[in-house]
Amino acid sequence: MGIDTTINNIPALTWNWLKINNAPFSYSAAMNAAGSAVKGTVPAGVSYTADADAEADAYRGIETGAGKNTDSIFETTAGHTALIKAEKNVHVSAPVRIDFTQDDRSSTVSAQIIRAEEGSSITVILVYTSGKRASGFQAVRTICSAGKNAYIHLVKVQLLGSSFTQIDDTGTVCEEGGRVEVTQIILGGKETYAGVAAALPSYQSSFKSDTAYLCLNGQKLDMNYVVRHTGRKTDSKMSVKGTLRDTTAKTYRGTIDFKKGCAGATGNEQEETLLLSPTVVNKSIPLILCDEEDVAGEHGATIGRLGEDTLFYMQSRGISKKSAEQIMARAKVTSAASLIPDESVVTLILTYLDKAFTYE
Amino acid sequence: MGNPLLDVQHISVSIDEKQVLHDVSLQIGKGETHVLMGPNGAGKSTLGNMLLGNPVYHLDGGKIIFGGKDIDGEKTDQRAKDGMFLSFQNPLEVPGISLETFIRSSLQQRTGEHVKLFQFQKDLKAAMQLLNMDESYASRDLNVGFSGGERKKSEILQLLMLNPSFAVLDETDSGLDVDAVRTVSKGIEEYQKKRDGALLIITHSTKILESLHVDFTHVLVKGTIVKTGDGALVQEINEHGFEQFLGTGGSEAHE
Amino acid sequence: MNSSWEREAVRLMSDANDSGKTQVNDIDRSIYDFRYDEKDFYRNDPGLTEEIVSKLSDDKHDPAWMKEFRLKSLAIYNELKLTNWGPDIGDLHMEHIATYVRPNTKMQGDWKDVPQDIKDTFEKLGIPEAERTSLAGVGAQYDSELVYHNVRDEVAKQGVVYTDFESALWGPYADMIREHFMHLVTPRDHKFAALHGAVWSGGSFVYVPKGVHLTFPLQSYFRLNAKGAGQFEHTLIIVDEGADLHFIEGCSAPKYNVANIHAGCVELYVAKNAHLRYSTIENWSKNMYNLNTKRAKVEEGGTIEWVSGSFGSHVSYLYPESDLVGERARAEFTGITFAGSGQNLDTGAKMVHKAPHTSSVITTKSISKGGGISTYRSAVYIAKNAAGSKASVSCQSLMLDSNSRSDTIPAMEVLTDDVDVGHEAKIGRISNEAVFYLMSRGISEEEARSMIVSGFANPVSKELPLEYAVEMNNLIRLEMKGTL
Repeated sequence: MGIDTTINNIPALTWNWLKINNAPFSYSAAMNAAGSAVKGTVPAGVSYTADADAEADAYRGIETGAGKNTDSIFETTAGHTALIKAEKNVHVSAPVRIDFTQDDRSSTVSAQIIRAEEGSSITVILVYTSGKRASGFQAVRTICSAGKNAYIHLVKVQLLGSSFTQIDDTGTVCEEGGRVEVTQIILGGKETYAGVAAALPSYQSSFKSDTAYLCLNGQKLDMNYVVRHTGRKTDSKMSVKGTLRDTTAKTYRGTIDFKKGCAGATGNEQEETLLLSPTVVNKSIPLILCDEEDVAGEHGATIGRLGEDTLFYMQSRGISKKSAEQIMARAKVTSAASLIPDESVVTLILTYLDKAFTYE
Repeated sequence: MGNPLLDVQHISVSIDEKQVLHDVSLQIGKGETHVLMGPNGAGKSTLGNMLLGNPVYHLDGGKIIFGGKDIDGEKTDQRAKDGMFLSFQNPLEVPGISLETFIRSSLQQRTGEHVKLFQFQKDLKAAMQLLNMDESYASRDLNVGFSGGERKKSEILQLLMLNPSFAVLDETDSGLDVDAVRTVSKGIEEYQKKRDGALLIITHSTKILESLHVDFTHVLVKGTIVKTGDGALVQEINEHGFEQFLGTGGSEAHE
Repeated sequence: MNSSWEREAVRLMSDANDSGKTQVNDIDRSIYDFRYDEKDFYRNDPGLTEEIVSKLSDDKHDPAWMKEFRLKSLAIYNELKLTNWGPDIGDLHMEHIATYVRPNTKMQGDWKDVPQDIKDTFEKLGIPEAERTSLAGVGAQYDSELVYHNVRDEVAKQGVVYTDFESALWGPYADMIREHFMHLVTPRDHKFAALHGAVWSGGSFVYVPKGVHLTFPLQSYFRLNAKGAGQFEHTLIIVDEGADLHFIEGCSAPKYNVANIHAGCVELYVAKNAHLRYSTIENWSKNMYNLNTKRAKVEEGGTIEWVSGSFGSHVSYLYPESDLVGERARAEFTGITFAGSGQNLDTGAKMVHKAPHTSSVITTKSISKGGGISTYRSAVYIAKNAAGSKASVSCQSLMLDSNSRSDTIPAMEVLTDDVDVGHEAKIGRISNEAVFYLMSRGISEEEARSMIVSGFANPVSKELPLEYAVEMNNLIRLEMKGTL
């Protein structure tokens, strides 16, 4: 498979010299599907179809964060689209967990469709791991479709090896009263492209997203988050928190798009970035596009190093500057991790964090 | 009553398609002080807002006659020019306009005449002194950064300066400490004396009424007036609460 | 310090009743819509060829280096492409625009000698009164040429140079100009900077010597009158070490059928510990394409303050840029943009931190109404060597109806960790509760909305000199009229 294009395209272009309008991406290698996706026990009320290509057709055309330019990658997912469905009015308490353990030098593509029928609720957790120094490529595309008054909580945890490239693509859509929540923890890999596009076409549907990341030692993270409000009284909340240290680069594009007719809609976007080394590169562009009068949109961003007041406070309690930085970087991740309803996954994350900081 | 200043005839009011007031009738004569009490959610604020024509409320039935005129269809600013005033429960911040400029503009609207600056500033200063309001508030943006108590004082200050013939005071004492309640009460008293204006004081506690003369008291429960009495009714409610009135009235209201 | 000519202009613009409220209707805008027959006026051939640029240069008696510069710029203009972002300017047909119109009169030192109809233009806009006020001097431009200009004695005594650009090219400051001209905004920057480099005409040159603090603002005034003519004035201001200047630029143009373009250029040099405040109200006619480029370079300890109100023009691309190249340099940008029917205003600011301990603040307000499109576009760039820098951006947008559009596109690029960057943006509508509150005090709905919008614009209007603030509030009232 060969691809040479731009992905994570921003909905409204700006000055080209900022090099923030999109992420150039090229890759050519054969998919070898080395590595396994292991699903945990499928709870009652959930149907899991490993090979759901036929059903997948119904979900084509849903906008995803990485965008149309990645469609060609996912066309090769024949036989790899899983459909996870919660039946009508079923509230699935136990999360559905799928572990992707990637082999060294593997090149895999996979896709999931999560459908919550009317009145149901379901949590799906995807965990990506590999050997600590493994290399490879992984592309994942997840579509969430929440039915009337249904709820989907999608959790994506990335703990891949230090030479991995990953495209983690998500697209969501809701029916009336439907809610989708996406929690993403991005800690591993060498180059990660994360994109999430949420469509809110129906009355009183809502979207919430919490993303936390940590970039150390040459890691690169490129993000594109978009919420499209078309339905009335829709609500969205997006939060991205993370830390950059050493020679790392991160780009965050976050868009709240109020389309004409979404009267009563509210959107909120927050970004917090902690910078710990003079060699970091941070690019942020939080957009609000608005075509409708009766809305309320807000976004805020704070970027910089540890505040002097916070540092002083911690030092007065005997905590060194380096420790304080680690504590704050950790806190950004645990704040999102606390939303994950699976103890063992949270432990995995905390263990990874502990080890990451000993790479001094 | 002969020719009441305000004659509310069997009004039913709804908001967001939910009925809040049912068949409410009320008459207030010139210079009279009426008190409207009731438990939370009774619909008291609704009545105040409806009288001033807040567009989020809808008059489903009945009539509101003010100064002999049916005011349904009259916009809020016209009602204010006719002599009505509403002291808000939660006065908004309006950045970019100073308190002084706001009051002067409102006065100009009411009288239609140019306001003589010197006299205006004298009157403003005197009113602010009466209300224990620091002079500096006059040049600050309207309610921006004002504490709850200061905002309420700002409302009473406007009452004194604009001199309406009829004022609705919506939960003026809520969120105020003892001293502030006393000060605000003093302001209301001043209005009663100076203007002989009619008052509709909406409250669910009675602190503010202690030093005021009350002509009539109405109890509103779940959107209906369940009892009307004189000033003594206030004392009765003070002692026994609204217990005796609950179980009467219409459906649950949104305040 | 009041300007009687400003007040005259404002009075001419509206019918003020005793309460100070203005009732403005459509006809009043026509104050800016008059024009005169161009009997004797010389015109260039439409379209841009080397011959035309050469002729233009010869007519203006440019020094040789300037002629060469123009031709090089033309080459760059033909090479560069339009941007792939921003409002569509496909309707602008450059080949139809004559780029140079000069009235048949030479530069005048004394008002008495200026031709009558040209005088009338300025009279109507209240310019002559300026002579009698405490203003330092007025350089008034009429169709690409500075017709009247006068530098007050006091200003000249302090060594402040304020002259038209053409004569400055041959005067004692010729070398200074050559050193600075289009070094800050270069023809390579974008297509319309190149256009400007090729056909620029008119504008002001200001030099404030070391330590001089001018106690009153310098003003300049632009006007466009010829059918299809373009305005390409160049402003170059150099504020030397420790000096202080407030410069006010205000402009206007009448309506036409043919597309009109304004591709001006403003270059501001703020030396060590100097201070410059640059205020503008852009009120071009609603058929103008306003493609203006403004840039300031601030040295160690220097400060630039931009105050900007964008009201007119059909399409605007306007992003004043501040290059903070010396330690502790500071930049502040306060702006308001009001996009009404038929307007697509793409405005904002750029802050470039290229030295340690620099700081920038952007505060903008934008209003969209009646189908207008307002886009806030900014870039805050903090270079690797800009440790200890602070940047803050606050942009608020107000939508007045659902026919309009408001987009916020703020970008931040940070290349070091020792920074403090904060950003916040809000978008919403006029609060109904606020309208009800004001109406309950007898204020009409229309007036209430107008007051709220003026209140919204207050942080900007209070930064402008009084007469401009009044003009701005009147402009807002003018725009707000007919909302309901």
